[in-house]
Amino acid sequence: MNARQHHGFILVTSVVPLLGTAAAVVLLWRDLVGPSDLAAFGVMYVLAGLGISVGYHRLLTHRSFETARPVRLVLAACGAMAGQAPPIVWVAHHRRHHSHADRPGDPHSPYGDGEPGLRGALRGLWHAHLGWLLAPELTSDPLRWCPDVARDPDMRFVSRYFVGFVALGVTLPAAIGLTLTGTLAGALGGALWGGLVRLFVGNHVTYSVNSVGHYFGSRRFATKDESRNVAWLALPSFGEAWHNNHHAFPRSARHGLRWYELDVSAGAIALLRRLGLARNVVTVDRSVQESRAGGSPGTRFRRGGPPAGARRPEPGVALGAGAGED
Amino acid sequence: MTTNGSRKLGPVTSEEVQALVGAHLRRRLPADVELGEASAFDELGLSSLQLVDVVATLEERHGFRFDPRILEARTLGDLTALANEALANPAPGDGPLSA
Repeated sequence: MNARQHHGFILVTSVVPLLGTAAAVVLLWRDLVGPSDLAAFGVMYVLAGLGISVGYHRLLTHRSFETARPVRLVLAACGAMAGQAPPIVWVAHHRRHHSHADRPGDPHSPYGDGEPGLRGALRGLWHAHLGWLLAPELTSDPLRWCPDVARDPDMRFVSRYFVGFVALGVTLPAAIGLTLTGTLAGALGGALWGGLVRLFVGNHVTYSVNSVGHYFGSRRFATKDESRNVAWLALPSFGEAWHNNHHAFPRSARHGLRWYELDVSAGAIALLRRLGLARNVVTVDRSVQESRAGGSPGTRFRRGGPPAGARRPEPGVALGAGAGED
Repeated sequence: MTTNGSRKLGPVTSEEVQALVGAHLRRRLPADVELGEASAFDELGLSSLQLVDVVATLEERHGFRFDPRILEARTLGDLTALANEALANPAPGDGPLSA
């Protein structure tokens, strides 16, 4: 299987189950799945998705904008409902990912152990997608990577009661189902579709940014890592899939840098700004973008890991600056 | 964030650190293990998130900031010593956490 065939394989295994789920919805319509289920799914997908991309990622990790304390808290709470990790843990991992992107020390690079061939490629992709989350020894010290977030009492609150917020992410859609239908079956359907199915779909979209987004797609910028822009993942990831853009300009509030690069999260931040709820939104001038443009194929260590000596020294304490430009 | 009257003056004591760590470990601490100065966070099974809580609580209560050597702290005694060093030599900009 060559690179193009890999791409097809990943596309099929990512998209077909989704289409299958959609088909199941159509086939089971008004029998097992109803409009209230879809409403619960939609509302929760948007809340949790924006909580991750706008809250955890652009606000907490990269400080792409500033906002009022209650907004910060609500965004983090929505992010927690996505069930991926407490905000303090998520931010620590993600800042470390940027600091070591696709090099030793990156918690979720698909180029980890450099095993050659298809087997190695699939192992790497699995590690970047979900496997890294199953490795108990893989931790990123928050005191090192995000002391700013660790010192925020609100973020400690959300982190401490993380499991409670995940449970809220299942009971809230149940309440939506109950409100819309007035039946217990409606509440259960809401919990199933707005809770469990939404968790499954949302998390695999995020995982795909980590796995697919470092493997298959285009490179506008010659970053030192293997990050890619993945157009088909842009809508469900709310813009997070413009991952090569993001690694080139980590602090930019916009990941989609062209008008045609759909970025729902950037739209949400623009809306917050218009409402007076976001300030100091980080933007990158087109001239600065052009000066960094010229994407390399980025296959320097496509197989076999980074070249010898490429390992960079461990950075000092990242006092909140761990997400600066690479 | 002000800590609603729970601010403590004076040095950080071993007992205070042990109480904070102990509160996190509650039922997981084997009966024959006693917390002391030499207890290591790793061996106790304290998660990085729980350590964050201990560190931030001490900072808020006493109004100081740990310096980066906190990353090298391995035992409860290390933590107490670093806290009191920081309390005795406040760096510019230190003080009660306000944000």
